[in-house]
Amino acid sequence: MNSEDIISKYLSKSATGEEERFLLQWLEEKEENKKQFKEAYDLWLYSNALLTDDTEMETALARLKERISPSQKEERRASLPRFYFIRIAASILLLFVTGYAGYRIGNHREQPAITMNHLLTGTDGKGRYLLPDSSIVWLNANSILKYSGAFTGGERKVYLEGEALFEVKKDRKHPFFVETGGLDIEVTGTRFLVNNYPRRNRIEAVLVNGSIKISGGYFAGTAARILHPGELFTYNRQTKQTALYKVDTDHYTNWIHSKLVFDKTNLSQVIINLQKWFGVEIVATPELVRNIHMSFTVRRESLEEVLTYMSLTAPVSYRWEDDILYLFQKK
Amino acid sequence: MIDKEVYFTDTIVENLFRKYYKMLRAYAYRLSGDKHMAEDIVQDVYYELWKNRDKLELEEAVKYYLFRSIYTKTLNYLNSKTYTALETFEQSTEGRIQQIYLQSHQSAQEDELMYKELCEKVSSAINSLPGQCKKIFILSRKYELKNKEIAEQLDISVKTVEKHISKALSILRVSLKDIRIILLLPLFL
Repeated sequence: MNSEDIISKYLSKSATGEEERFLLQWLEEKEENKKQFKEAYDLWLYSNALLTDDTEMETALARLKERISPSQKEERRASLPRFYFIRIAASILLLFVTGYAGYRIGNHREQPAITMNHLLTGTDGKGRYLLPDSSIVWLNANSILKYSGAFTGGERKVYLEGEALFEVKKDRKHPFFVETGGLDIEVTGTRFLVNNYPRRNRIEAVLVNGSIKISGGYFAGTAARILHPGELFTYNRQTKQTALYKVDTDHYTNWIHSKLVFDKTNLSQVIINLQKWFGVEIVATPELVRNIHMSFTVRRESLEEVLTYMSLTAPVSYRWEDDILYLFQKK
Repeated sequence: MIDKEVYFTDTIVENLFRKYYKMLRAYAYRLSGDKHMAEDIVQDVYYELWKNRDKLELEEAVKYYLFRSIYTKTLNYLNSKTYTALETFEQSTEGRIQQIYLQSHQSAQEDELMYKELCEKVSSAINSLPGQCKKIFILSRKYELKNKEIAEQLDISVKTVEKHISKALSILRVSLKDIRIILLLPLFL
């Protein structure tokens, strides 16, 4: 084995102990060798810097600026979980609080003003929020969650457009309602996901644990449906069809974390994760996904980068059509 | 070269960040073997550079200062995690090889002109690598896959992966020979 091969193995961290000792000895032999080693090592770092895009660097720079900006932000930062900062740093996040008149005509008693809270996330935004009853909600990109003031009167009711994972605080006396304009979900204390993007026909509810009851206008007349943990319930707004599946719920909720990790994961599961992470609809045939398993991690990479990577490492190519991403077998 | 009289301003810190961040992160990753740790280490090094921006008097090249700061921070992390008092990182073979690399920066001088030229040269050299060799090099350097992972993904042997990476590095090194000779300076200085 020549010195170039050993240097290259050393740089990619796959040299054996013996090869490392050989390299050290070779380096100490003469200055010329040290120079050759430095050139290769520089290239090693340099090629990485040239090939990666600026997204990670820009996020890191934003983090640095955040860190060195005046200390008034310190307190806020300390109390928020890490997830919030990683994902929100560069995203648009708006919190609208709109108050409207709380006076009733013909009644002299003053009613307390009712405030409607709107939580909104933008295209790049994801966030974790605490509701007035201490329930937690993770809101995915392009979503709106509306609820009235401080859940006055003990009623806990939210309206969702988009996707959210709820962790509802247990309170048997005051059930928690999620309305979607299609499905209504009643909960007492539990962890579950609801997907209700208006531009899509499908409404999804996935139960992680606890129990939820699904009812609603479109089901008028039929009995409410109880979901068990690990079940995915779907409802098609257009065809009015419903379906129930057994699923691995992790793939539906991984988007709340700061990265997606695939370790020899089947392509069909990779697709579920990517749909939620990037907010896109992905379609692939069962024949294609069956035999493909992939290992990679997504942190701040763009969808394009992930697709390029997938097509480099697996016999998969892709095509966009009407905002839907189709994956198919590479010829 | 940094003039002793000129202290760092926010803009200088930001420019240094944009210029060296990716390279330093790759360096910290090669040293620590942990991507998250690498990001945190680079973040801390720049934060300290900024904090000391009024006091810092550099009599050496900034690049050497930054590389050394990364090295020192990573060393502390490694000694507390992987190495013991019996064999510290500095004493290990890996540690001694790394010190040789770090010291090679000490005598180096920054050259703005050459830096840009090198960027272009390396990019076009990578682009003109032969097919499979290019693919493997990109998986390794862009996507930071381990040789074993590349072998699994492409269904080839680890040995083949190693051969291709070694070949890529030597092609790149050769393609840069001309400008090194013209400028009579060591690489990347």
